[in-house]
Amino acid sequence: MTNYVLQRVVQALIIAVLISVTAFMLLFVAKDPARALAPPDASTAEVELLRQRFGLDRPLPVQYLSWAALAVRGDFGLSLFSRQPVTRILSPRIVATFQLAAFAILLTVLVAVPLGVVAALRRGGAIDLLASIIAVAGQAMPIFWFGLMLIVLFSVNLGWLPVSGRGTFRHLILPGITLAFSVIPLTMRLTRSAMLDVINQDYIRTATAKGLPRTSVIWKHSARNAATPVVLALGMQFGALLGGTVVTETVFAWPGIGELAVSAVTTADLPVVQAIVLFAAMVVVLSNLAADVIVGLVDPRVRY
Amino acid sequence: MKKWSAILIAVLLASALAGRNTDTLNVAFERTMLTLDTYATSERLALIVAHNVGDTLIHRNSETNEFEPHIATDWEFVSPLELVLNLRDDVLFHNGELLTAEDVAATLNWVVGEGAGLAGTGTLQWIDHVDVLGTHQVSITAKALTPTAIETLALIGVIYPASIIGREGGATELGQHPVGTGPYRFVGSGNNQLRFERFDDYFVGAKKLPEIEHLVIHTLPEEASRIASLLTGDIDIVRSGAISPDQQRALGNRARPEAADILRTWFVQFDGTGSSGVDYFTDVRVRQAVAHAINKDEIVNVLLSGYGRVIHTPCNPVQYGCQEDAAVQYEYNPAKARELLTEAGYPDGFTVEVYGYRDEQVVQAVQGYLEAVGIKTNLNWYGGQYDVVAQILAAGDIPLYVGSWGSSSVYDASAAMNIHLEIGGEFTTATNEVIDQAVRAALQTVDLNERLELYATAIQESTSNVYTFPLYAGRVLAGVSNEVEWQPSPDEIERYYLATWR
Amino acid sequence: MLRAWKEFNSRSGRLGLALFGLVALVALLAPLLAPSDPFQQSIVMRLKPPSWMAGGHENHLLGTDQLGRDILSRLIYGSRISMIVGAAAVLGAGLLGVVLGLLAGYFGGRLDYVVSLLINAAWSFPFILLALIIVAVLGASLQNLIIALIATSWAPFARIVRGEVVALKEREFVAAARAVGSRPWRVIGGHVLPNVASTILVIASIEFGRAIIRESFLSFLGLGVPPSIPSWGGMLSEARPYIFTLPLLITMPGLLIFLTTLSVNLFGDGLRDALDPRLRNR
Repeated sequence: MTNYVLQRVVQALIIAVLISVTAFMLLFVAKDPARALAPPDASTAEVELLRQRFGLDRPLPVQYLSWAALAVRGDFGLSLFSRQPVTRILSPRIVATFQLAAFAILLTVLVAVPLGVVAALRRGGAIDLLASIIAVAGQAMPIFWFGLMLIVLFSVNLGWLPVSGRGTFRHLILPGITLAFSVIPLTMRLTRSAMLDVINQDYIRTATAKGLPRTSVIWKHSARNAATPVVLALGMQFGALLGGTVVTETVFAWPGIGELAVSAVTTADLPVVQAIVLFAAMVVVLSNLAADVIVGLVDPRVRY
Repeated sequence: MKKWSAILIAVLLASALAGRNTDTLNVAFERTMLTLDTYATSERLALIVAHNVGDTLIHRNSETNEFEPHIATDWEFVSPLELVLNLRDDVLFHNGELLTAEDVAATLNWVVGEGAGLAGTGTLQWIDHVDVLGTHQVSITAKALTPTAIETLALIGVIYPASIIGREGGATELGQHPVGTGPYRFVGSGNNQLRFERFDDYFVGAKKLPEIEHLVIHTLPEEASRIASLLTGDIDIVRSGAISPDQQRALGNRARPEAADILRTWFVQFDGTGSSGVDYFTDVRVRQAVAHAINKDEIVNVLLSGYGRVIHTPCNPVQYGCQEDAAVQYEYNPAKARELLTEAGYPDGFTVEVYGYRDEQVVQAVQGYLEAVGIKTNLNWYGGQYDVVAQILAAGDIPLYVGSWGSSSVYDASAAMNIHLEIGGEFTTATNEVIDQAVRAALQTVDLNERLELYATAIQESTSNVYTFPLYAGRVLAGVSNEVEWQPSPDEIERYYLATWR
Repeated sequence: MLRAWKEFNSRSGRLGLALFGLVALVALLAPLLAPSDPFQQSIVMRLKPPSWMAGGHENHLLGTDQLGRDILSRLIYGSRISMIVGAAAVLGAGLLGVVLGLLAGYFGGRLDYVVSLLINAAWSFPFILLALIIVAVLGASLQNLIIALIATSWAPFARIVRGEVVALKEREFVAAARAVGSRPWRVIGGHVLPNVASTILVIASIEFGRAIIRESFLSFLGLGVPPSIPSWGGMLSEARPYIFTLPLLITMPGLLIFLTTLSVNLFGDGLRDALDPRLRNR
C-alpha cells in the first residue's frame, strides 16, 4: 500500500507539471497579458514597456521555469493585474470554496446515500422512482438556472434566505443546495447499484436464508462493502464540484476561487490562473488518492 | 396561516430595513476588484473607490463641469510648463497625518517614476516632476504643453500619504488597505465586501461629509442576483451600468432607475485602409451605405428604451470642441443605402466579418440593419475580452467593428477622436492628413477659439468621409432603492458620500 | 449487442428514445416547422409576450426576444445547435477516447502509462477552466465550442474502455486469438471492440447530455456560440435578467434543455439496465 501511494504521488506530481505547462502555453497563445494589463488607449510602445517591466518578453520556457522555481517553494508570484501576492489573494478564497464544497458534500452524503440505499432495497418502489427522478433532473438542469430559481423562490418571493454573500449559515444554504444538486445524481446512482450488487451476493442471501433478519444483515454486511464505490465516487466527483463552483459562486456572489477564475482568465492574469488551475488539479488528484486510501482502510479485500 | 404570513412580513420588513437601521449604504458592483490602488489598474471600480476614500488636488463638479478648489485652494500656470498650487493646511489623512506638499510631491513623483507603465498612471504621464515650494505649496512641471493638465489631475490624481507611498511595497499595501483623506475611511474587506466608515475629521472641501455613516460595497457578478438583492432590500444601490435598461421594469416599487449621461460613445468602425484584406470599406460609398442603413433612433429609443442619445459626431457633444453642427448627418434610408452599394459595384451586397466583445444586443441590431440592405455579416464574438479584440484591432485585421470608447473620462474632443486617427497609434483605420493635422494642432494650443475651429475641421472631414459611423452616446442606469436619495454621475465616478436616506 | 437491444425494454428507456427521436426530428425538419426566420429581427417588435397574453402578437406564438426575433422559431432552430453540439462532441470525444483507451488497454506497457497519465491529467483539469481557456484562445464559435467540449470529455471514454480492454485481454477468446498470432488490429476490431461497444454507447449517452448542459455553462460565461446563432444555452443565458419581468423567456429554453438531456439520460439508463448482466434475469 505504501508503495502504491508513493507511486500515485509521483503520478500526481507529473500531472501537476503537465497541467501547469498546458495552462501556461494555452494562455500565452490566447491572450496578450501585457495588452490586457494596459489601459485601452495604450499605444504599442506603452504595451511593450509593460511587457518588459513584468518580464513578459522573455522566452516562454524561461518564464515558465522562473515561475515554477518559485512555485515549488510556495511562492506563486504577484498578480499581474493587481500587484498583490497571489497567495494572499487566493488563501481566503480557498477557505470559502472549501466551506461551500464541504457543505455540498455533506448534503450529498445526507441525501444521496440514504436515497440510494433505500432505492436499492425497495427496487421499483416509490422511493426508487423518486430517486431516479431526482437523479435525471439533477443531471438535466443547468445549475445556474437552478440557482436562479432558488433565489427567486426563497429570497425574493419568500424572503427566507439572503440572495448572496457569505458570513452566516443562512448564506450557505442556497449555494450549497445548488452545488450539491450537481453531484447528487451520480453519487446516488452509484450507491444504488453498489447496494444492488451487495444484496445479491451469495453470502447475504445465505444469511437471510438462515433466518437472520434482513435489515440487520444488510446493515451489518453490506454497508461496509457498498461504502467502497460510494467513497470512490465522492472522490471522483470533486472535480465536477470544483467546476460547479465557478457557476454557483458567480450566481451567489460567493467569494471563492471559482468566481475569481473567470475574471482571471478574462484579464489574462497569468499567475492567478496558474495558481488556480494547479490548485484545482491537485485537489482532484489528491481527493482521488484519498478516496483510494480510505477504501483500502475500510475494505481489506482491496489489494494494490 | 395567519401566523406564518405575519412572520413572513416581519422577515421581509426586517431585511428591507436592515440597511437603514444600521445606517449602512449597501452598494453592488459587478466585478471583483483585486486592488484598490487606482494607479495599479485601468479598472473603473478602483477609481470610484479612490474618489470616495481619497481626494484630488482639484475637484471637477460633475454638474457644472467647473473645476473647484479642493485640496488645492488655488492654482496658476506660472509658465506654460509650470503649474503652482497652494494647498489647504487642514487636510488630515485617515491615519492621522496632516497632508503637506511632501505628500503631493511623493505621490505624483511616484506616479511618473516607479509607477510609470502601470495601467492606471497613463493619463498623468504628462508630468515631468513635482517640487515642494513650501509646506503647503507645490509646483508641477509638465513635459510638454498639456491642455488637459487640470482635467487629469482632477480625474485621477488622488493623493496618498508620503509615509506609505514612499516606502518599499507601499503601493501594494495601499492596494489592500487604502489610506486617503476622503469622506469615507476604509475599515476592512473580505467575503466580497469592502467596508467603509464616515471620516468625521474630513476637511470636506468641494465634497460633502457623508450623511450615512457606513458604506459597504458588495461584488455581485450576476445581474439577476443584483436585481434580486435590490428587491429584497439587501442592496440599496446597484451601480450605474450594472443594470440594463430592460430591467427597469423589474424594479417594481422597491427601487427606481436613475440615469446619467456618460462620456462613452458607441460607433461602427470600418477598415478604411484595406489592411484586413477586405477592401469593401475603402470605398466611401460603401461606408455611406452602412451609415444610411442603420436606424440609430430605433436603437436608442426602442432597443435601449431611451437610455442613450443619438450622436452624429465622432466624439461626445459634451466634450470640449465636439461641435454637432460641424458634423455631416446621415439619415436612416435603406433604399439610399442599396443605391450606394449598387453604385459602388455591389448590387447584391457582400458578406463580411464583424467583431464585437460587449453590448451584444447593439451589435446584433447593427447586423440586422446591414442584412436588410444586403450586407451579410458573420459575428466574431469575444464576450467581455477587450484585450483580445484590441490585439486584432491593433493588427489591423478587423474589417468591421461595433464598439465603444470611454475617452478615458477626458472631456475633450481629442480624447474621443485620437483612437480612430493616425496619432492614436495602431488603431488607425483611416489616414487623413487634414484630420491628423487639425487634431495635432489642437493638442498643442491652449487658445480656446483656435481649438474649436481645428476640431470643427476634424469633425467635418471625419464625418463626410465616414471613417467611423457614430451611433449614440451612453446613458447609464443605476438601480436605487426607494429608501435612498442618490444620483449617478455623468463622469462615472460615483459619489456615494452624497447619498441620503429618504 | 443485438441481444442487448432486445433486452432494451424498460419503459423509461423507450420513453427517452422516443423523446430524443422527437427532438432529432424537429432539428432535422427545422426549416419546415419554424413559422418564421429565426434570424429575422424587428426591433419595434421586441420582447412581446406569447400571443395568448395581453400585448402578444398573433404571428409570434411564444413571443419575441430582445431583438424582436420569433422565439418559437429560435427554439426550433436551437434544437439543431444542441443536436450538433451533442453529436459532434460525443463523436469526437468518443473516437479519441476509444482509440486511446483501446490502444492503452491492449498494448499496455509504456503506452499505457502515458495514456493513463493523460487521462488522469485531463480528468484533473477543471472542465470550465480548460474550456474557458480554449474558447478564449480561439474565439467563440460553434466549431471552437465543439473543440473545447471534445478536449474536456474524451477522458471518460478512454478510462472506461481501457479498463474493459484490460479485463477482456485475459479472457479466453481474446487470449486465444492473440495466441494464434492474429494481428493486433484484427483482434481489437474483431474481438475487443464488439465487446466494449455497449459500454461506449452508455458513456456516449451520458456525455451527449453533458455536452448540452456544458454549452449552456459556456454561454453563461459569455463564451458559447456567438449571440446571433439560436442556441438553447445562449437563449437561456441571455434571458437570465428577465427572470423577473418575462420569466417565460428563461423557462422555455430551460425546459427544452431539461427534456433533451433527460431523454438521453433515460435512454442511457435503459440501455445500462439492459446490458447489466446481473440485472438481466430479474
